[in-house]
Amino acid sequence: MEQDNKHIEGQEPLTPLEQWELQSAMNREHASAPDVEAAWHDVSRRLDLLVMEEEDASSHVSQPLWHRMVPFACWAAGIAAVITLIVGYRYWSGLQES
Amino acid sequence: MTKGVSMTVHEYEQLFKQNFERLYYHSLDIVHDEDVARDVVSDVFVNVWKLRETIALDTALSYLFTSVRNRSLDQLRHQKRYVPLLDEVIHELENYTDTDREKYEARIEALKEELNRQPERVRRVLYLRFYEQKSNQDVADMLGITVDGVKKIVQRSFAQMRVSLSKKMLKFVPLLLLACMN
Repeated sequence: MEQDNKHIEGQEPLTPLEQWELQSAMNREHASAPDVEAAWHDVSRRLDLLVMEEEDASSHVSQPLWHRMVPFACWAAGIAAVITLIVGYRYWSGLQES
Repeated sequence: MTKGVSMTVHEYEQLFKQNFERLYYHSLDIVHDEDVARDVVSDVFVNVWKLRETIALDTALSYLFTSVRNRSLDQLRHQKRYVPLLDEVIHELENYTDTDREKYEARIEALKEELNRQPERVRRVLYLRFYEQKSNQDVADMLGITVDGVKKIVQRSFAQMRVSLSKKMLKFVPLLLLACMN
C-alpha cells in the first residue's frame, strides 16, 4: 500500500498512520453497531461458569482434611461392626454347642 | 492497577454496558475485524471480573482501554494482511497514553465527517482503496480510470482532509487540556 502512494509530484504521500486512520474511520462507518445486550448475555454466562468453578475450588480448599475423611471412617466403622457381629455370633454359637 | 473496594455485580454490569461499544470501536480501529474486536473486549471484561478484588472502579476504565489495546495489538501481529503498515503503526499505538487515545478518537470522528463531505466518486475510490484494500491498479480497472488518476484522487482528497482535520483538531485542544488536568 505504501508503494502505491509514491510518485505523485507535488502531493505528499499518506503516512502509514494516516492510512491506518483512514481505514479505521471507514471501518467505523461500515461496521455494524455491536449488540451490547447479546455481548452482556455472553459474558455473564461465562462469568456464571467462572463463579461456579471458583466456588467449587474454594469449597475444596476450605474443607479440612478430617471432613473429607468422615465418609471413609463411617464405612470402615460399619464394616468393622458387621465383622464383629459375625465373629461374635459364631463364637456365641460355638459356646452354645459345646 | 490499584487496590480498591471490590466491584459489585451491579457496578460491573454498568461498567460493561456503558463502555462496551467504545471499547469495541477502540479494538476495531486496531484489528479491523468485527468478530475479533467483539471477542477481545469480552475477554478483557472476563479478565476484569477475575481481578475485581484488585481493580478500583475509578481506574477500571483506563485499565480496560489499555488491556483492549494490548490484546488487539497482539491479534494484529497475527494478521499477516497488515504487515506492510504494521511496525510503524504498532509502535505508534503501543505508546498511546489516555490523552493520545482521546485525541485519536476525536481525529477518527473528524475524519469520518470529512469522508462524508467528499464527492461520491472520491468516496468510492477511497472505499475501494482503504476499506476493501484493493491496489491502485484494481481500483483503476474497476472504475475505468488510470492508476495515476487513482493516486491523484487519494492524495488530493487526503491533502484537503489534512487541512480540515488540523483546523478541527485545534478546537479539541482546550478539551484535551481539560482532560489532562482532570
